[in-house]
Amino acid sequence: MIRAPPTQAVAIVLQGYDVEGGSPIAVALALALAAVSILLSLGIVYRVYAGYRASGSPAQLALAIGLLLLTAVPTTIRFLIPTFTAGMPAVRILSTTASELAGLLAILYSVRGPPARGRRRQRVRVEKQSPVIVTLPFVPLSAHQLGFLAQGLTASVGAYVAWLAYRGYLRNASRPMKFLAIGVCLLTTLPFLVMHGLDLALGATAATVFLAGVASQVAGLASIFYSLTRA
Amino acid sequence: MAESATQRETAVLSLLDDEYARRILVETTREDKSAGALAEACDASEPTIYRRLERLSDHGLIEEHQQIDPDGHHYKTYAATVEQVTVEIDDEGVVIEIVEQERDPADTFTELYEGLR
Repeated sequence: MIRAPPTQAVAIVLQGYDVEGGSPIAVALALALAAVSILLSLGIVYRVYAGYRASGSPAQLALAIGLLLLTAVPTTIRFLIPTFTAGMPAVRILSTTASELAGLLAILYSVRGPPARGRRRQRVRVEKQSPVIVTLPFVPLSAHQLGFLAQGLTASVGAYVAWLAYRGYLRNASRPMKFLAIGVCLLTTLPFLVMHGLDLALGATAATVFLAGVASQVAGLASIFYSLTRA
Repeated sequence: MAESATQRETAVLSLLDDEYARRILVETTREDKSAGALAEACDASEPTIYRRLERLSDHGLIEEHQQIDPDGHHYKTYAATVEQVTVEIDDEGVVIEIVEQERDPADTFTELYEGLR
């Protein structure tokens, strides 16, 4: 997948995570995980596209786009176009996180967006109030702080989507929903907890934390791919 | 504007005249119940419950969900989908309105995702 010479490829994979060093085994593992996640993303793109072609409604289009923004787009940004973001890990983290967040919101829109099936009585209450204008003070944030906030938000929305999917599994005995729930959790919530919790709790090295986060994301992609195929 | 009650609405009214049908709706409003649990809660035989469930389902007042028990067997549970039925009478006629509960987003999500596979 990555055609650059080995040393350069290692640099490419590690760049996005702002990790320096790491044992040769860790580096080899990181490369293997990168290759696997690219393959899984291609599989997901293919399945989602085929599924949408077979049965497309507007809500399913939103769901399909959401799934791609959650899986294939961040993988592409992480591993395939490092040249655009070379030397700017903050830009890469922000763009992958923004894509994941947009994906999660598109999934929520697909579920909640269409009007409710039943007839609802609407009582319109007119309140006479002057509009309240709130001005927020401008707080300058560093790219690192912004990245942390965005990742935290994505992790929270991801946890909600995973919970919704898990309830779908419980209520309808739907195995695909179980693996979707696990996948979304492994893709969004767990890496955030690992990357920002593991080093604090266990004093793990940067390379270990990075590998744990990537491994969780790869497992998440695998779980979503499985939910789309065999579950 | 008043409109005359349609077939579904009059059918729902006569269905609600049945005590077991009302009990089933009450029992399944907050949580899903299986036919066995409903038979026990309503103090009725399972065939009686199944007949009511079929009529309630035909008129869209209840929906079925698949469940798996710890041994891996599939069974069905039922949940009321109706929240309110009102009858308004004025000099223009009778209006029967059936207000449905908002659907659980987890079910919508499942249906959409399974449709995409």
